[in-house]
Amino acid sequence: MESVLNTFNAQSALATAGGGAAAVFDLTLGMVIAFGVVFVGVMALVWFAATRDTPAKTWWVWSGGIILPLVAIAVLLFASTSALLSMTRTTDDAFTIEITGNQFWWDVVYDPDGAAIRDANEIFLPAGRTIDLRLKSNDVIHSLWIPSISGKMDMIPGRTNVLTITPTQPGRYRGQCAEFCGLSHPKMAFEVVVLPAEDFDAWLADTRGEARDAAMPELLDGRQVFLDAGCAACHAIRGVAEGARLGPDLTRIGARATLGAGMWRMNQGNLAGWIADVSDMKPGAQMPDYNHLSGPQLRALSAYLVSLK
Amino acid sequence: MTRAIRPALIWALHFVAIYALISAACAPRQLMDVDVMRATASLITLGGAILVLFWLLSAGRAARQTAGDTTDVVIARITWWCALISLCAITLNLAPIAFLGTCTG
Amino acid sequence: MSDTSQTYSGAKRGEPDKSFEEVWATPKGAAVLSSVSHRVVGKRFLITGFIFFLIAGVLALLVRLQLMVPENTFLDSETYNQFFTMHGTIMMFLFAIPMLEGFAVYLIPLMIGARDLVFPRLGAFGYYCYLFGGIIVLSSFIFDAAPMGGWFMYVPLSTSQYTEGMSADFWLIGITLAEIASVTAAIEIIAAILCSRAPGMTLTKMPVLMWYLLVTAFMIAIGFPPLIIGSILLEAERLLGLPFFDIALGGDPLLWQHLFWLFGHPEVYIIFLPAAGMVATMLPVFVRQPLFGYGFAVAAVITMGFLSFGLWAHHMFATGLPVMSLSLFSAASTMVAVPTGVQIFCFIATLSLGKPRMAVPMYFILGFLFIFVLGGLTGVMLAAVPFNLQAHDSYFVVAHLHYVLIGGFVFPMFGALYYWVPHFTGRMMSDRLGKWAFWLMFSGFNLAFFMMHLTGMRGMPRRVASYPAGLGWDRLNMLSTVGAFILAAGIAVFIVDFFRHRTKGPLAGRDPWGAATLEWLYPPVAPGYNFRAIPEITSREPLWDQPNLTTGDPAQIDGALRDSVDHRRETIGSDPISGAPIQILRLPHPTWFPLIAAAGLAILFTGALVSWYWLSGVGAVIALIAITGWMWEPSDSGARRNSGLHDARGKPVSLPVNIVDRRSHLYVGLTGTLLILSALYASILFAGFYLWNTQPDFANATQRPARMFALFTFGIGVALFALSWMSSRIAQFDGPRFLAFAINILLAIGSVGAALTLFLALRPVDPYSTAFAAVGWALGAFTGANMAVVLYWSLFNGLRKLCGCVAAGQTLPDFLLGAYGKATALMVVFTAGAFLVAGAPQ
Repeated sequence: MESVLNTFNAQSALATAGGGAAAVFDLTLGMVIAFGVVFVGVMALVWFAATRDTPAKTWWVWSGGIILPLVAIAVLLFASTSALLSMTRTTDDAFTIEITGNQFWWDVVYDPDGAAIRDANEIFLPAGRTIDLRLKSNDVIHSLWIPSISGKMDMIPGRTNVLTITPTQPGRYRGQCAEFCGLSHPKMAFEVVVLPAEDFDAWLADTRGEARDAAMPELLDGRQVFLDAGCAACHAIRGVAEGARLGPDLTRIGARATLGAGMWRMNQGNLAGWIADVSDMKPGAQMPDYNHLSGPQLRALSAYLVSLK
Repeated sequence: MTRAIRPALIWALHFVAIYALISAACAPRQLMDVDVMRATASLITLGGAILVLFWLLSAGRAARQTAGDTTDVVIARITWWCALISLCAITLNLAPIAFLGTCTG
Repeated sequence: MSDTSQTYSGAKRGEPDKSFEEVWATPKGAAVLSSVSHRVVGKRFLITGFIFFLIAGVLALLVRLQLMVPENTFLDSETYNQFFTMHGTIMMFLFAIPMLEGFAVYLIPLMIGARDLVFPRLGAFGYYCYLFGGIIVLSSFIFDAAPMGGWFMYVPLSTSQYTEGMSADFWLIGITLAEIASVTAAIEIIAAILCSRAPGMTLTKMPVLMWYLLVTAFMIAIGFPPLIIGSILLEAERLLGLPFFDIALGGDPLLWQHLFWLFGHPEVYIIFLPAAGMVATMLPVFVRQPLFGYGFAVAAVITMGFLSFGLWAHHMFATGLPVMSLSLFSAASTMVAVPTGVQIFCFIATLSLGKPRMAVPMYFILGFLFIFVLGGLTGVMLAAVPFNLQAHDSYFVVAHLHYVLIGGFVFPMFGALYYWVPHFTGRMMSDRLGKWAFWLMFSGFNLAFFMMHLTGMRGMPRRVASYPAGLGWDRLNMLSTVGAFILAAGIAVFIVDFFRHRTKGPLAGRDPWGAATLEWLYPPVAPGYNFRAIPEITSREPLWDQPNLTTGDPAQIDGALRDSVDHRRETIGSDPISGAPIQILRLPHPTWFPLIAAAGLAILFTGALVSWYWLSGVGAVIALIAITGWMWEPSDSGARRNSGLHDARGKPVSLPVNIVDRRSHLYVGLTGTLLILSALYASILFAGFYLWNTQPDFANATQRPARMFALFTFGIGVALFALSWMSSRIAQFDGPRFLAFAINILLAIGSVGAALTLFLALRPVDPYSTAFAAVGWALGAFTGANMAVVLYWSLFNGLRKLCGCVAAGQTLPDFLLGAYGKATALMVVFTAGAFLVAGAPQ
């Protein structure tokens, strides 16, 4: 599927595709209408008071200052508490995904207590199922926010927060870090792929295996560059270089629609530019620039990585 | 004049108590059982509300005593409105505890 | 009560060769920096605050330029982060609070019938701390170390691990220095409003703005300490490596957030309330009727002051707090709409009482009503947790906060400037230019910020230097930028008008607006002493209801203190509750000590910033010398003078000078100071309880304090309490001098003893081992710092007795030391108790 990097409404709380977002949308609409009426009413009263000759009575202050707010509060608290309870309710058979925020990328582990399938920066979700997102952080406070699907939740180092979501609409959506986390906070985004439930199960079974690595002999050069340049110190590729967790897992990197945590389209050219000069594209990123690699080396390496689907 | 502030002071004490109770029941140290906490909170709220209500009624009586704008009457009126707002706030502070059975809803 | 009926003639004579006018004259030339008069200090605050406003405004325009188009490269990430951080920081700390302080410092004595604030040197000192602190923060730009962690400086991002270099230190140190101005202003405001009102001005007859400012001052006293403590803890972590927020050692990033927002939420109400008070002052003038519902409004202000302290965690709804906590803060946040609504409806009701004159201030008042009510309603929306979880950290919040802050503070401020500028300069600003300024500001503001509600709902997060094209934010951002520049144009028109009116504005006659309050008694510009004789007040609207005040020459109005026998600056001191005149309150003449003391503090803070601790030592010595010089004066108590007032039978009334009891302005000021100290102490306690409750494993694993020494500390604390109590009693009843001296010495010894035993109690605990341990040391250090003050003060008082500088009846210093000693002794006892409990074996 095409990236939704520049797609209208891909990251909008008003274009809902999840249970939480839909509940909030209804609440928002209700509040906007109700408070809109209140606002117009109060402004009309101001105009009335300033232009007409009727002096006020105490009951104005009573109704406007006490009764109206109290009624509004009661209704609002009831509506919002019900919505909140329904949004935070999880189910016993909820699917768990653990997401750890880093400066400035997302470490994603599907079924962390079971198969523990690791990926990064793109999140696949089954439509119609309840999902518990276990949110953590390795450094500073981040926040996971997919406006179309649900409200946000902070990722705070030292604790685990759980965000329960229910995507309803298959499609591709965009999310972004919503807590200021440093130099490249604006460039810490991600895309979410919501698949129909059976398709998701198939995808999960397919992705847990080893890398579909070097299908063509030309790509072996690239794999060699990967190993020689020391990339495996930070990046894991299942079946090629295991164990490293300092950087994103690259097993399926070629399959992602975007690069650099949702910021650029995934293609060989962008990948080569990223490897050579990541600090220019994403200031503050932990990955060093590999501009000492030669042109052919970069070409081979990026061709290899983009083939890992 | 301190009379006028008393209801708000009760609100402040009540709020600190409610916040402390919720922390005691819902924080990792788990100092208190949730049901015990809810019962305690309800009792404290009842006590505070009754006290503020009493002040509300006596201030209302004092405000009605003499018409006009003497210092005592104005202070009584101020007290009455402080007490009313404080009473609403105290009651509202209990609402989450009253309607939610556990820390997580 | 110390009522020495002996007519003691020794009250220090002032400048005997000077006339009344000369005694009150402002120094000329460079010496004006030594002026402590509230009119001068108030204008300093206003001008400096406005300059910071413009600086922060320019930063905002640069931010908006960057965001005008997607993926813009006008500013790089680092610069952008610095600009939005500094925009928020300067606006909140270096503009809004000082601006309202400026109005308060300038207007309070004029409105309550006093010649000056009761602690003029404290106000001047506060101003210089603010100036130096602001300069330190701004200078970070020159050193390419401007803060860039957001105005809220969340941890762990702002710890030394993730923010290397000095940018965060500039923020923490500079802002803490500037905050001294805020807390000193709070003490000044409380003492002035309670203790220096004109005869006859009971609490219910004082202008409603005084109620607003009084409540605001108490809010500052309690609301600023959590931030001060948080800043000190974070700076200690950065400079000394103490693990307050270190997760690996049991720290918690949320502790910072709690401390910050315990300050941050009351802060915005501190900003709003004085502005609302100014609206409440101006609106009746333009409808020519008294404020509707004075009683309701006062009650609403009082309750708003209290309720605003119960909302802070609504800034933390997305942090994973338990649902029950979320609901508590949601309910409390919506509840504050009640007192807010009462005030708004009082204003609307006042509006209905007559046809308003549409002068420029009235436009800004109507603008306030429109913008602030809209902002308040989006605030109630944000109080709903599910909505908040979408809107938090998005442009919706940016829209909301600017609606309430610009609507609730900036618009009233411009109205107030148009209204009171004639008082500062003697000339009226332009009606035509003012209306242009208003319409440009109003339309520009709404264009810029209304769009942002939608931008946020469409998913744009805050604090992003750039955004991708095509997501639906492009046109909205462009419109917001255009609006921002229109708003800026309106402000530019105001500035042009201000400079123009200095030479071309029509001269303001007496009471140009037809106002009711006392500051308009004299034709602008009023003389520096405010009132030649302090008039008696019988109404809430004196200029409307008391003809004797408006007919004839204001300098001839009958009243108190027309003559100053001792050629000293003085005003009438009132009973805090009833307003009855009870003392003649002596005021300081121009002096350099506040400036020197502030400079010493600035050097101390700068030394800490650059880690040259010897420089900090030098600064501390300078500050200490200046403070000693400041305090080294006779307290003037023990004398009586003719007040110029007459009793019911027409006989002249004489009043004591600087009384020695609880109604003294110094005692009230001390009480305000003790409130601040208690809030500081409570903030550290809060941190301790919080960590104990949320990180139980680390708290349990922390080493125990030595209980024996804690017990000794407890005993010394009790002794200190007893000694302090004795000091107060002896002072109040003018007891034997040698006894007072002995108590001074004993207090000095006791304070050293308490600090020593506290240290020994804490020795077994390694402050670097866990966050909980570090907080324990913070508690001990704070108590120890207070003991240092007791030591200094008791030695000071003793020294003054030794050198024969204290005459009979001048016991105010010991009286105040007694009160301070009692409060800090309680602190010692409490800390010792906490260590005793914490020291219990597992």
